[in-house]
Amino acid sequence: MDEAQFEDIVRQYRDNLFAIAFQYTKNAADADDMVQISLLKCFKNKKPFDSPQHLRHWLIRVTINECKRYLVSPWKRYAMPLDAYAETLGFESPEQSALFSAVMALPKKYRVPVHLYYYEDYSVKEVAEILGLRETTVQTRLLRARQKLKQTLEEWNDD
Amino acid sequence: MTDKEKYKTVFSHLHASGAFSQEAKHMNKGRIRKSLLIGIAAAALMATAAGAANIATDGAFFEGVKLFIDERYTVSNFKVNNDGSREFDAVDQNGNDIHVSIDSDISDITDGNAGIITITGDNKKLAEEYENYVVVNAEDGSVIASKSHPEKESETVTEYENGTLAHSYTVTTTPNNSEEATPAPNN
Repeated sequence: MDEAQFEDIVRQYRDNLFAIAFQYTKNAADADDMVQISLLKCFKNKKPFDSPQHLRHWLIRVTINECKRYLVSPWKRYAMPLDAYAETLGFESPEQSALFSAVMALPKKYRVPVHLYYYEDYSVKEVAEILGLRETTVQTRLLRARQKLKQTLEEWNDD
Repeated sequence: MTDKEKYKTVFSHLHASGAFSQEAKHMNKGRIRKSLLIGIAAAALMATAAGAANIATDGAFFEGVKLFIDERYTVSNFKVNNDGSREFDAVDQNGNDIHVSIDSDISDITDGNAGIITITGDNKKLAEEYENYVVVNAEDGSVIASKSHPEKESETVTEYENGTLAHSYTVTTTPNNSEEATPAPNN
């Protein structure tokens, strides 16, 4: 892989990988590190990718694996509180801010399938494959996540 | 706007920092970011102790869950998923085929969250009937309380310490779905 190809990959995928890593780490600095490690692995990777979909799938799998490694590590970076970080994201409406907060308040096991399904447009079957879960488990987690989000956002609306 | 569009609009506000490609290439040439270097060193120093703690916590949690399950179901096809959660098929006391997923992992337990047992049946009614949960002590992984029917107002539940039955409690479900645990009269 030459530098121009690598630059293209970085430009095309870094924000998507960052958003996935953020679901695990809940802070931008560590999410940046996870993406950087994944991109470095991609840069060093010698095997060709069959298609852009194959590359994307590979990058997402590597990022998730790095995030899981990060979670069992005793090392955690000082993180800006999530509310403060949300204020830097420039949401256009209170509703957007509320949805962000509600999603980030979900347990990780719900956040990650939700993100892969709603943001990356993966099917339930594909999410199950990426996370090493059964399809029924992914369906259950999506269902529970929707219920929790609905409840949280209804309470937010009532306030 | 669909739910997907709303979600994408919100999370498209997340952006990685801009210096990725240069930094990644520098790392490839042996220049590792200071933060990563500190992390690697700290992880290496603490790996043994942390690993032991995680295994102990994880083991205690699933031991408690196993005791809970063994009292109620005949288990088959036990499977450990990549994320640490467990799944298996089972037959309940009435002969119904159900699927059980123990929906928790190490990070959830160490974060202090309760472990949740999700049980799904062949249809929605059965799934609702078998909604279960186990509340887990975040420090030692022991089971604090469990509940097997969300629609019942109260139920006697058991508490295990180091795999041994320690106490019995009555869990009362209040109208807003919060629970209060009080010792049963005979304990």
